[in-house]
Amino acid sequence: MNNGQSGGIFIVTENTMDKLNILTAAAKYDVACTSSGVERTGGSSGIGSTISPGVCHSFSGDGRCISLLKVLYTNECIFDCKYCINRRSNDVRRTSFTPEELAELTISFYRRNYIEGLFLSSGITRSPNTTMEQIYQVLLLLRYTYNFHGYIHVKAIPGADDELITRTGWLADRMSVNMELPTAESLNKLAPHKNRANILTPMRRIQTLRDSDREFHGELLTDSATLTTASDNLPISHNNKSTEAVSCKSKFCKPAVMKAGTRRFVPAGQSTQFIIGASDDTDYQIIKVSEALYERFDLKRVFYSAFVNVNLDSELPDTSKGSEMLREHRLYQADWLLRYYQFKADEILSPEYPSLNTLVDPKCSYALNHLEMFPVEITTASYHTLLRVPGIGVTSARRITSVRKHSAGLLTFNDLKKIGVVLKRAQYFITCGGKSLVPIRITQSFILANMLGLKDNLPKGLTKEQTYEQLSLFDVSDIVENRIEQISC
Amino acid sequence: MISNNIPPQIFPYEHPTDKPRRVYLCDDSPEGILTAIYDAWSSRYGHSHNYIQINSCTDNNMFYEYVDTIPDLKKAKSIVTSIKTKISLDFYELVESCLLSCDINRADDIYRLIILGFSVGPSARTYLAYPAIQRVMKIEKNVWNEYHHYLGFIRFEELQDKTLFARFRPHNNIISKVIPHFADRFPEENIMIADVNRSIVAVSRHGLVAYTITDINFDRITLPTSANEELLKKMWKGFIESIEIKERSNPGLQRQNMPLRFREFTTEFL
Ligand code: SF4
Repeated sequence: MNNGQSGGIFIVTENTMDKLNILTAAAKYDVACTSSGVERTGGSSGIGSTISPGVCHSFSGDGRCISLLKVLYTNECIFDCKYCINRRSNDVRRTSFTPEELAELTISFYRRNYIEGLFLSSGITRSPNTTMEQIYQVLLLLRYTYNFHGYIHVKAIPGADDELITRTGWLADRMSVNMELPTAESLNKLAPHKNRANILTPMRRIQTLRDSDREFHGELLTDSATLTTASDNLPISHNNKSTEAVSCKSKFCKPAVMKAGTRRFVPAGQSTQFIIGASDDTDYQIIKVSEALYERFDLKRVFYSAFVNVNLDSELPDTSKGSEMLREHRLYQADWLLRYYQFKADEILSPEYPSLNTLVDPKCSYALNHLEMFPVEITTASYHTLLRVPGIGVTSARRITSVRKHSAGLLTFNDLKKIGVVLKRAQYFITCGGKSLVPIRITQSFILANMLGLKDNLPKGLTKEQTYEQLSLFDVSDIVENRIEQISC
Repeated sequence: MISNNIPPQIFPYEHPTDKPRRVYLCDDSPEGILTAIYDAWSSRYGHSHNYIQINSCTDNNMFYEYVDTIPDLKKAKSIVTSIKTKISLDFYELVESCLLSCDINRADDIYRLIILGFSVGPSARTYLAYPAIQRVMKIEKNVWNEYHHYLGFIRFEELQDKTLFARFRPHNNIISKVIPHFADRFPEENIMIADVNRSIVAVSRHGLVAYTITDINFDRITLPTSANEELLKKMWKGFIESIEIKERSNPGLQRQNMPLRFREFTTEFL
């Protein structure tokens, strides 16, 4: 390898810096920045490796994880999506990298451990094919000239030829096509140049090729196998949605490892993104589409990006209050239920109740609406049932089932606490050896009143202030009364 | 209480009655702790009467017997080999993480973990009803978290001879976990990482790793960097600046995710 220089001349210059600033600012609203999902060793030559849980290299001033060099190849665009800062009708400075320049910059950043890899997206210059071709050129340079084995995430450009998408997919780790909006109507209204079919075609194409590549390597998973992988891919923390983590017995042990230089088709899978709050689509519509994408397109991740009205477009909602942030957070929680807690979208919301509760998290809200299912007896309940209890996470549910094996029937509330069950939440919904921690009549509003008093694990800086207004929609007096009732007994 | 089928005498008695508790004092190092475990084990004094303590945290108890141990690489290695062959490699990784931890009270917990490991096998880690095992799992998590953070937060500078140089100040002694990651990632580079507090330097040359302990003060030293270094640093800072959604500025969250102690040597926060 040539230490990040092509032909001995360093082509990254002050001019590149200028481009970098513009093309980074133009890419920042895409929320995906994870480097997870593929484990690849570095090999004996070249540069780079990937680790399956992904790595955050820094955090930006808005608190988001920075893992990849997230840039646009160009911010020129022939389209005019209303929500986008790069839309044709905007008067902004336009620029483009050259493939050589971007490849060298990526390697230079990578060597200094600034980044885990590249996330390359682009505006549409001239045509979808031209754009896809340029992206492909960058990947070709990185993978073959620089012998780069680090993480690469690229956009599949809707409307580009299958052939180009295929060639790119053999060089990338992850590909994504952004859905942006869940319904055809809102897409039509806000992104008139895009349509459903255009977005879903490359998605389907990638899925098909990925499946046949996996079948070729003998890993096409049966349903039960899919389940075990899904539960093996446990997340570390709820708050950091940018890392997907793998839990195995030893924290340092490694999952199935790819060798450097092996070409696999999009080994880290596909992802997509929705903009939250630019249209009046409901949470129900969004998570229904997410569910369909997970089930039918085998997507690895769906990201939700709270809309920022960058163009101050009067046709679009005002976002200066930031109220979409809480909604985004709740959608991630609902998404979590779909992916790790075996929930169905229709259990979380319905056409009659299409919005996620802002006051409590979706799992809690589900439990409150299904009190007939509770309390659950900890010593006998199935894993699936345990997962439905607020305060019991994937790890603690698993620990309960494993502890029960060598000490059946002897679990106490104290043990549950040690195992990691959040009793403050779980107590209303469980019995343990027939005993309950709350000896009084349980009603929905009683629990809600108590839950509201608990600290919600919201990301720092995100408050429910905006929801106090909504609180008044509830019957506050009812809640307060219940509290008093509780104290007096 | 969760009842496991383990002889309870493997855990220390709080107040042994028949004979005094014997406390093995050891060096705060992997060899030191393992040697003490070896000595305690082979003393046949009884696990429940033995206690292992790092010598810097002694609080003398007049009812206890104190024994000094001298770090012995041979003894340490023999325990390591037994764990690897008789329990499992995975289990050794857990023991190793605990040994590298900065927790000053870990020595006895590691002793208990190893006893339990020999008694029930690798599943010892799931016996969370025992406080020692709970603490061990916490220690492992803490070490792993710091290791994982530093995989991302370490920053290299390119020196004049193209060597990639980084320094960091980890709480736990994780340099031997961190350097293999970079040796694997950059097989064609010369890498040098310095643990500033411990003055340990790890180098990797074409994927081969070596360590030295030096008396260089890495806090002070500035090494001449390559010609492009300043430009690249500026570009990286510019990138961090441009990627921020200003409307969503949230320094509190930033600090929660990347505590200040990790920023000491990160280019973007200098
Ligand atoms: S296609 Fe639409 S979203 Fe993409 S860059 Fe162009 S205007 Fe923006």
